Amino acid sequence: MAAQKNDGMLEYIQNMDASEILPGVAEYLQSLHGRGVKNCLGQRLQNSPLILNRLGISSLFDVIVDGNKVVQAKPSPSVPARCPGIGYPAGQLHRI
Amino acid sequence: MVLALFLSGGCYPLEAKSANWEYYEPRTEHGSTLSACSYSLIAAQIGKVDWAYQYFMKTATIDLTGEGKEYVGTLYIGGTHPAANGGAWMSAVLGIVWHHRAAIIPSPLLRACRPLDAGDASTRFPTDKSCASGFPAESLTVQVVGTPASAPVCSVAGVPQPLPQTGELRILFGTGTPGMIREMRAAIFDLDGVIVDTAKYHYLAWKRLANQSGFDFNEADNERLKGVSRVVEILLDRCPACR
Repeated sequence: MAAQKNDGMLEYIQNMDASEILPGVAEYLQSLHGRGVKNCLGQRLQNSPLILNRLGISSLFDVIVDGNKVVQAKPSPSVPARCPGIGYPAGQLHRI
Repeated sequence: MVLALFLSGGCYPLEAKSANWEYYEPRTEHGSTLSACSYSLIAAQIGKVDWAYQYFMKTATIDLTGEGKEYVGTLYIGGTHPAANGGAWMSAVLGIVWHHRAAIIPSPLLRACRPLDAGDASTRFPTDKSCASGFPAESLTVQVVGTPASAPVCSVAGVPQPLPQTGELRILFGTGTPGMIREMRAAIFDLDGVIVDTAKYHYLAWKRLANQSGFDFNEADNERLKGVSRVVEILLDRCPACR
């Protein structure tokens, strides 16, 4: 059932474009990227890379941690632990 | 909004902080455990020390009173709240102490606070509040030694809070930089509702699938799905014959 739903989702995603980026997001990502901050996307859903491509902002992300890479969902520390430049040993990450 | 006003505090005048705090405070559910410390910090900045103290108490006792939100629908979100506990430290040191030069005195119930007297405190406060870094550059050291004798000036909801009357009081808030990020090295973004709103597509996709299977799926059902991974179970609830 989930696979069928995802097929429907993919159809909608194929029609997305940059106009759907929420206000200010592209500029903020750009400014972080421009000053060397590592941008990381932590999102369990597996369509994230495709969505970023459709929005045209994939190149602003250094790492995408999605359902293909981690098993445990937020707030598991497995998402931040895979983002670069955070610098915390995994044992020091806790849920909020 | 209120948290953002604290994090980028140097960028906005007190009037803006005050206006936003007063607008959002009565309209906010404070469902996030990080809400109380944010409201405490800004309350301290805009001169509402009673409110700062009240929200400090909320964040400081979050794991003691057991009054926190434990469930969203059927999803368990309880547990301990180390980030909110850190927020209590920030509310005390960077909020009440920094802005009001008042000491929070840890009586057994964390009930009282009073201003620091010149004779019993040595203070060094951060000086760099620049917009560029947004965070204090210098260390903060507060030491209070002595027996508190003066009447408390802090109150909660208008009721003065008693001070411990005997014994030596020694509070050392530590040295070094306050526990805040000086330089951002990485940023982690959520996707849904942060970068783009995909919720409507999820809803449409679920609805189409449900309709194809011969049952309804409305917006109320959809609300139950938000942030939840047990989607299939909720859908099956709507379709007992499918079980």
